[in-house]
Order: sequence, then C-alpha cells, then structure tokens
Amino acid sequence: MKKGFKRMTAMMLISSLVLVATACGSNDATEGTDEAKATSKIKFMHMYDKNSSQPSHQAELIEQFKAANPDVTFDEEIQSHDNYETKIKTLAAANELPDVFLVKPSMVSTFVENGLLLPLNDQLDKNTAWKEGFNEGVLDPYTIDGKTYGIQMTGGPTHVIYYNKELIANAGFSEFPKTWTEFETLINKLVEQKITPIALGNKGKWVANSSYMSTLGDRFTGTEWFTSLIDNKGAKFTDPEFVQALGALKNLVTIGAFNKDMNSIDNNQQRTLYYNGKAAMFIEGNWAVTAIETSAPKEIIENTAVAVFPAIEGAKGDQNSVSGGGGWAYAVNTNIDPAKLDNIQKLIQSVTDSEAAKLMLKYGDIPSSKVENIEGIELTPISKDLLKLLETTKYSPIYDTRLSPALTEAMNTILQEMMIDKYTPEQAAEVLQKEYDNEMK
Amino acid sequence: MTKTANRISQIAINVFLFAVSLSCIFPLIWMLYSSLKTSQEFDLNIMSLPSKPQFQNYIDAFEIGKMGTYFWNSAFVSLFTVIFTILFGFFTAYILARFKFPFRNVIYFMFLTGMLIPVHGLLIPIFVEFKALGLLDKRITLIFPYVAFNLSMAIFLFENFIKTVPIDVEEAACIDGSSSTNTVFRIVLPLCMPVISTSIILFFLGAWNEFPFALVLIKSAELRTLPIGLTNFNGQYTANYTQMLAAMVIVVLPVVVVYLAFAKKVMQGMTAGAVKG
Amino acid sequence: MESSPAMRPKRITFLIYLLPSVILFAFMVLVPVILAVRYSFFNWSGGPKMEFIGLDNYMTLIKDSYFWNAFLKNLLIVFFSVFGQIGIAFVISIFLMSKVVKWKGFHRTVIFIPVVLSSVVIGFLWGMIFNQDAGMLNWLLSSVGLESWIRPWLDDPNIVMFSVTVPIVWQYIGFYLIIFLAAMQSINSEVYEMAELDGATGFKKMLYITFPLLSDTIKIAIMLCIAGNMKAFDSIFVMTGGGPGSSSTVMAQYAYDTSFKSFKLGYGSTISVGIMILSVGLIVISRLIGGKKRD
Repeated sequence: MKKGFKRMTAMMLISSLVLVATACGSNDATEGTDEAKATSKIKFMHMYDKNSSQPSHQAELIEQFKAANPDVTFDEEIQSHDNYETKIKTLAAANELPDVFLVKPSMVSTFVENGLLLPLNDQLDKNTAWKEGFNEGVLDPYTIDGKTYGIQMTGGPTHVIYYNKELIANAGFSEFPKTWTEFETLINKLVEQKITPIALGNKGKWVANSSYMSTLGDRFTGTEWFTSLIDNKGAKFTDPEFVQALGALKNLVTIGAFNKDMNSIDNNQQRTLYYNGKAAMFIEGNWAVTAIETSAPKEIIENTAVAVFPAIEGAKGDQNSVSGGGGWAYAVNTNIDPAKLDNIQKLIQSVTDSEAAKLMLKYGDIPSSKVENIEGIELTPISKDLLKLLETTKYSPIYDTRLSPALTEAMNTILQEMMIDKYTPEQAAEVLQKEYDNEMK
Repeated sequence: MTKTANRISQIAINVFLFAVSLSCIFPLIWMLYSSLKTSQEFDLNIMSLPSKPQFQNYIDAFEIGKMGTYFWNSAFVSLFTVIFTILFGFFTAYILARFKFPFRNVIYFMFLTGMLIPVHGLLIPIFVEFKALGLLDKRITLIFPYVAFNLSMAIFLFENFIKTVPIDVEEAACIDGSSSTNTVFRIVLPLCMPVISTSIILFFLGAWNEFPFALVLIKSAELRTLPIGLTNFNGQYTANYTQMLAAMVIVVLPVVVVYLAFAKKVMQGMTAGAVKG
Repeated sequence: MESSPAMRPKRITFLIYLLPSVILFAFMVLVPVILAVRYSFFNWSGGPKMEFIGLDNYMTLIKDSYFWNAFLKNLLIVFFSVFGQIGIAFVISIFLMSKVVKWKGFHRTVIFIPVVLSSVVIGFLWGMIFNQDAGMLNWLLSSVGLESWIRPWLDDPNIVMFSVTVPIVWQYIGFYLIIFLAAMQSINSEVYEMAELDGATGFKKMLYITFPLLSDTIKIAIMLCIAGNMKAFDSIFVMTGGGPGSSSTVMAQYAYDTSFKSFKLGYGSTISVGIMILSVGLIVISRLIGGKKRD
C-alpha cells in the first residue's frame, strides 16, 4: 500500500532534482564567470556569422577587430536576418536591447520615440577622419533633429537591372534601352520570343517596393515629393505623379514582363530563373552581384551586364536617380555603461571606416565610406561595371527603409495586390493614402 | 455480379490507400535524394536524381548550421518536455476525470483554452515574464512553456481516455485496501498506455519542431535548438537549397526514427487498451 | 461516472496531483495571456512609451476588413479540415479495420509520417510541389497529358487558399486516423464481425454502425480540428508569405505582421485576443450544432 505512494514521490523528486541539477549546470556554464568581467563585456547582437555559407565583409571585419583587440570582450548573439528582425523587436519592446546592435532606417524613428537609442555624434566627432570619410548624406536616414543614431557600413543601390546581353541582343537590342518606351518595346519583343523578360520573386513582398517602386516613384515624383510626404508637409500618395508611377509598374505586369509565379517565389528563386537562361533580366540590389558570381553558370556570368531603369519621357523627377544608400546600421543602446563607449566607438569605426570599405569593395559591396584609388583594388567584372554605372547616377530614398514600419508593411501588401489586379493604380493610391492618414493623425 | 463488384471495389480501395501512403512517404524520399545534389543540379531540375552524391552538403550543414550542438539541445529539451507533460498531464487528468470538487469545471476549461492560444501573440509577454523571473537563456528555459502549452492536449487526451475506463476495477481495488496512489499507478496508468504512446510521439515532435519560443527566449548559440539552426541556411539575400535540405533531413530523420520506434508500441498499446476496455 | 468516497485520495495527495500542472499553466500561459490582454488596451510601438487608449483597438478591429477577411480564410481551412482531415481519416480507418486491405501495418505507419514533420518542412516541400515551372504537380500534370490543368497554384488569388489548405489537410490525416483507430479498437467485437463480411455491403454496414458509436470521438476530433486551424499560420507563411497581396493571410499571420513588421504591438495583441474569442465562439457553436454536451 505504501509502495505506490513512495514510487510516485520518488519519481516526482527525481524529476525535480534533475531539473534543478540541470538548471544549476547551465548557470555554471553561462554565468559562472566573474561578475565584474561579465558586466564589462560588450553585448553585441548582429547577423554576420563567420561560419555562414555566404561569407560577409562584416563578419570578417568583426573577427579582425577581435583579433586586434583581445582585451575587449563580447557577449555576442548572432541571428540570421529574418530571425534578427523578430528578435530585435522583441528586445526593443521589452526594453532589453543589447549594447550594440543593428537598426534599419525605418526602425530609427520608432526606437528614438521610445528613447532606446543613443545619439552617436560625440563618438563621430572623436575621429574627424572617420566622420568625414563617409559619403555625403549616407547617415541622413539615421539622423533626427541633427542627432545621428545609426552608422551604416554599406549603402549600395537597391535597384540594379542585371541583364543577359545575349538574350537582349536576340531581341534586337545591341545595348540596353535608353528610354522607357524602348524598354517596353524590349519587353514586348522578349515576350514574343517566349522568354520571361524580367524574373521577379516577390514572395517576401519587399522586392517590388524596394527594388522597383522606390526608383520608379522617384523618377515620376522627384525627391522633394517624398521628403514632403515623410515630413507630412502636403504630399499625398494620391498625387497624380505617384499614381502614374504605380501605373508604370502595373503596366509592366500587364504587358507580361514578369513570370506568372512572381508572388510565390522569393528573390533567390528569381535569380535561379535568370541563371537558367529562362529570363533576360532580374532586378535587385547590388548585393546580388556576389550571388551571381558565386552561383551562376559561367556563361551567364560572362553575359551579364548591369543597368538601371532608362529615362522616362515626360516624368518630373531626375531621370538618373536610383534608390539606395540606406540599409542596416550600427546603433547603441541609450542605457549604455559609459565605460564601454570608447571600445564601442573603436569597434564601429573599424567596421565602417574607409579601411573597412576596401574590404567591402572586394566583396562586391558598395561601402558608405569613401575609398581612394579604387583602381588599385582587385574587383570582379560585374562589380566594376556597377561602380562605373553608379558614377552616372544619384541616390534617391528607399521607400521601405524610410517610411514607418506600419506604412511599409501596408505598402508592400498593397503593391502586390495591385499587381494581381485587385486594385487599379488609383485605388491602390487611395488605400495607401488612407493608411498614411491613419498614421499621421 | 456482386462478386466482381466486390473485387473491383477491393482493388479500388487498395489503390486508393497506396496512393495516400505514397503521397505521405514520397516527400521524405525526395528530400533524402535531393539533399545529395549540387546546388546547380537542384536549380536545373528539382526532380532529377543526383549524378554524384554530395555528402559535402551534410558536412556543411553540420559546420555552418552547427547542427551537432543544436541536435543535443533539441534532444534534451524534447525528452524532458515529454516526461513532464505526461507526468503532470496524467495526474491532473485523473483527478479531473474521477472526482468532483470546487472549480473542477473552471480548471478543466482553463486547460482546454490553452489549445486556442496563438503563440505568436504571446512572444513579447512571455519574454517580459521570463526576464522578470530570471529564466531567460538557460538550458531548462524552453521546457517550461513547452510543458505548459502541451498540458492542454495531454489533459484533454488523458481525461477523455480515463473516462472511458470502467471505474469498477479501481473501486474493487480500493475496497480491497489498496491506497489511492497505488491504484492510480498499478491500475489506471497501465490502462492509459495507448494515450501515453501517442503522447510521447506528439509531444516529442512538438518540442522538437517548436520555433518562436526557441528564438525569443534563447540567446546563447550553445543553447539553441534545431529549428533555429535551420534558418541559418536562409540568409537575407541568399539561400542554398541543397544545404538547407540536408539540414532538414538532419532535423526530420530523428523524429521519424522516434516515431517508427514507437509506432509498433502505439498500435500494440491500442490493442491492449481495447482488450482491457 | 462519479467515484466512491473510498477512492478519494488524501487531501495532500490530491493537491500533489493537481497543483503542479495548475501552477505551471498559470505562469506560462495565463499570465502572458493577461499581459497580452493588457497590451491590447494600449497604443504601443515597443519600449517604455505606452499610451492607454481604452477600447479603441477593439473598435478598430471590428471595422478592420483585413482581419475579417483573414477570419474567413481560417473558416475555409476549418471547413475543409473538418471534412478533409476527419472525413478521409474516418474512411481510411474503416478500410484499415476491414479484411480486404493488404499491408495494413505499412499504411498505418506511413500515413502518420507527415504529422511528425515540422510546418517549415511541410511548407518548403509543398512550395516545391506547387512551383509553377519546376514543381512536381505541374510536372505530373503535363506528363499525364493534362497540360490544360496547369495553374500558378500559389499565385492565383482565387485558388491560393485551396492550394495552401491541401497540405494542411494532408498533414494531419494521420493524426485523426490514429485517434479513430484507437477508438474503433475499443468498440465491442460485434462490429468486428460485421467487418468480416468482405465487400461493399460490409463497408456500408460498418459505416452505419461505427459512425454513431464513434460520435463522441468525432466530436472531439472536430474540436481539435477547429482549435488547431484557427491558429494555422506557419506552413502557409513558408509557402506564400501570406500573398499574393493578402490573399492567403490568415488571422495569426495578420497578428504577427501587425506586431513584428508594422510594430503596432498594442493592436497586434488585440488581434490575438480576437483570435481567441472567435475560436472559443466557433467551438461553442460547433458543440451546439453537434447536440448534447458530453459532460
């Protein structure tokens, strides 16, 4: 009779003992280090894994910094990109941000509103060579009322057309179209030849916004329109110029510029279509350069050239504008222990300055800091083409990094709905404007 | 006539079942052989067999995804989740099934609502709470929410099952002088074998595959679980599908093995339950 | 089914049985739910700044067409799951109880396998199956001469919900199959004798006899089915990301996007609370339709 009770209590006891034991075990493992040492560690959260299959310049630079500064210790958390976004927002909500982390321009205003970010002007001022080494305006997306909250490392374009020279030539274009009308003619020709003109993978919903609409919109409206929009100074999504831009995007869909499954494949798969020679172009940011060079078949790499949207006849904005310049940037927690600030400044500088920029170029990326005598650096052919192309263009804002997170999310979805014929451009503009009004009131 | 009709329906039924079974097993086979292809082979034709098996994908998966460490973490968390869920679930369900007491229905209903909660809505509150309790980023962290969220289903399954077990045997045992605890262990628990076997599989795979809590509550790389490791193969702008498939096989195979190991027990347990019931 | 007083355990034992679960559940589930309900009354974008706005979020929710469209999508999944998962599982379980089927053990074992795969893997696999150019489904259709049936399965807003529901139905047939087989095994042997009669008439009888006997189990299955599918999200998200547009955005994804992409944490909580309320409502309704209560 007593046996049963004994057995049960024993089982319960053993289980809880195991639990407690393992709890202690893990305590020893993670927090057993000297208390003082633990607090001096810099809590650093980022997304650059040195073991990743796609090596990044940031991972290499962070490792270099660690090797050069063995006395600076880190408590690192590395998450992959999508996970990083979820996690950083959870940490921000709980007011538990690490010391140093990455932000996108669209997060800056929300984070600053909630008093989570430290202005970095003092840090920048400590080393004028670093501060002045940045290309003009690259820190603007992270600056509110003269205070800079984020320091970015790369600022390439989010819109680059990668095209297959041979396929375009077969369609009767020995060089890339110079006007929008010609561009549409090219697309029609390619459709006749049963080649997908532009491979699009918009499952993630940001591609159409970031790599298409940001540039297209600016060409039609001009940059002042967008500035006025984000400052709430009168510009509206329903303004005729912006509606025209929406119409231009929509027209690309109508004339069959894209593959039919554009909404169920992602940006990796859009490249696959291009690699297979089934598509003549794809449009993405400069980050795709590395991807092409590492994964495309050799004959595709050799045939690839770069362009941007051609000039649009009668449109109001600058016809050489390309969306770009904003991306992930390093930011610092407002509750930082001031004792750590010097090391943090050293860290951020070492991964963003013009010395670091050289490495970024080698990786085929476009750094935020200026680099002198670029000719001396060994570059891949596509990177070289791209750098040359960028000398003729100027940056305009990337919509999905400058608009608020809520508006970006709404815009991503609305653009996709317009592209599946749920909305006309006019309706899409109205729905967007409604979201905008809700936010601004 | 009826004979041929029967014959035809027999064949039709067998063909139908084979089609269903095939659809259930083919994706697994496809994953296995596709994970041995090169990235370019995969891009060109997703159905084709690998021309030369690429075991490098698995080596990469272990190195890049750190699947080795994550594997043991997942095993640890899943094992304890199963043990505690079944233990707690069974005892609570027994009380709820057999006795009347104040708030019995309130407690039962409370547990059931646990099944209706969309966990993504609770990520931030749970994080805030774990921070306050000092429970973030420990080896045992994930066991708490996993057990708690599985309890709903465990209590539901056990309670329903115990109710179908006739009470006479227990009563007879008590009249014979067996203590209540003894009765629970000796008589009720063995009768619940079918539910226990099913629970082992269900709760093991639940914990093994869980993602959002594992992402939010765990910080250290050495404590992460497999589902988080899987996402290491999908970068911001790049993905390597064959490596990812290799990683998926690493994630999927153990659960399939655990299942196959227990599949027989589940069936046996059911028959045992049926005979005694 | 009330027990005799003799069986009642000592008070302390009683509490040891009951309390660990209750305490754990309270801390891990109830407290976060209460916190979420609290957040739902705030305008909150994360961080220390929170503004109490009373029921404003709920007023917005009632008028939010995205939310109600998402709800309809969940209803569609629930509908197809109740008939697909439970219906197919029931039919297969009857087949498996009969004599005419060969390789019963194989079928029983294999049909459960999809249940053990994670949603991420399921979503990835079916994304490959539905793929327009390289997908297995279109490959299969064209190789049996049904080219005209080829569709962009995940891109046509009119069919995407059906496409994403198929894997959900498919994945859980095995789960309900196990539940039904277990229940059938515990039914008296008279029914087995019916199954000895091979052939169609045997099945018909089996169906008529088994169905009422299993009505309790079926009700439970329906409840589990509603509970599971009202919060469905993961596999759909992997397949379509909720698109095209919002054509396959279900409630749980809408809540997630609102909280983690749009950064409206207060309203995101409101949506989550809304999901819970609607789920409870749906289950109560299904109980009323299903007839008398079990307890």
